[in-house]
Amino acid sequence: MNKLNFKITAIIILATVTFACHAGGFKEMKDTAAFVKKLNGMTSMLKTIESEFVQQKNMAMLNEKIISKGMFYFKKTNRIRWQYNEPYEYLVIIDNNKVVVKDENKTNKFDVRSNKIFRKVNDLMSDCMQGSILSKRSEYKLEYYENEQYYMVRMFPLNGGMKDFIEKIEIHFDKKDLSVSKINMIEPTGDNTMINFKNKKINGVIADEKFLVR
Amino acid sequence: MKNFLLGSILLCLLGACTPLHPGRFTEYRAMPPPLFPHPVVQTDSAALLFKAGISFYGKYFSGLLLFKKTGNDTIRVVFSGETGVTFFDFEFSGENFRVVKCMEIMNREALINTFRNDLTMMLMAGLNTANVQWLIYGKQEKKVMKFSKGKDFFFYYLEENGSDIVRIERTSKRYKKVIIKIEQPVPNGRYHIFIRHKDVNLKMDLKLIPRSNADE
Repeated sequence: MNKLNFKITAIIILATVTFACHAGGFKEMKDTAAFVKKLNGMTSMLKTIESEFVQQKNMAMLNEKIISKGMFYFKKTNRIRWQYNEPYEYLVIIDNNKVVVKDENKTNKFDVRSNKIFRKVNDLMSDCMQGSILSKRSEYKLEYYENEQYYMVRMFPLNGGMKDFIEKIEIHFDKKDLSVSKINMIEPTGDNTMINFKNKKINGVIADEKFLVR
Repeated sequence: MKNFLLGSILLCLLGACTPLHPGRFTEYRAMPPPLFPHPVVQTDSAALLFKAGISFYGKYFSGLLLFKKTGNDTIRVVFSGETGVTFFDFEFSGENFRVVKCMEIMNREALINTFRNDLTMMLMAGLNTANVQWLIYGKQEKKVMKFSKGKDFFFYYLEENGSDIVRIERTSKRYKKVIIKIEQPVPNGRYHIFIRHKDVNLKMDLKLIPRSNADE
């Protein structure tokens, strides 16, 4: 390879890598310590979250996306209600270690500690929503980015179990109120699931009945 | 008294043995033979998406089961949880089968083989159509296709109109191993598939999600 070709190739590679890092206009976060401090402050004030969500699964083998919609509720400490309304009804209520899954006509109750995968997935989702995921440094390698609208934390699982099905997770925090706006879970195959949270109500009143495990 | 006890025991034992097929099959003799029906899960064009509930040995998983034709003779079947995490991803190509991905908790040879066999029954993948035996069953004279593969027999029961499969059984010579019931489409286009195993603790319930909701 002559010198000119080498230079052109090097420029193309550099441009490609730079573009990939800055996709979505994200740049490396300048002051991660300040972000973590702000987030911790927000988390300590957080009592409830109520939000609509739209979940979009993208698979390489499908041209179309799989879309589901519903409501998410969180109440401190560790009470969660995931309610899928479309295209099917599916409800998960977690009250500390007790879980109820209502799958249309079928209801399953169990202890979250008895189902390893369920526990992992739900710990992940609740930790993401509360922002407490950033404290789990032994479980994830973290990278910090930002653009005009969001802070974005990219997390790479370090443990075998999680690494098998998640390559990385990207959490978008809204710069206005530091609430979670998007969670993007990318699988080792490149397939991903993006959950967008809309019409969020932070620290509103949510009745305890929403989390009743009957 | 001794004879009475012996007779009672024999009666109980015989009563407990359900005949393989209580009705009788007769050979279908009319010509030409019926048309070969479509598989329960047709993947001719677009992907099919089912809401799925799978329980085995006390564990219950729910999510979405996706069927997608990816080549002339190749079909991918992917089961993922509601939150998007993929539990398994299988590829069927004629009689060949490949595990593209399987989460650790389901990655057991016996379990994968069970899933493979059940899905193969619905997809009718690798069935030798030359091997089919047409039968008539019951008072309604429903048409039944019978295949044999290895030591097992497969019975596909057709609806009275003769075009839709409503029930599939996998049997040995003596007993039923798997029963798949298909509830025909209701007006909103949904149909349900119930898979029940007689010899292992596994069941699957599938409900078709209408196509307009599967993609945007």
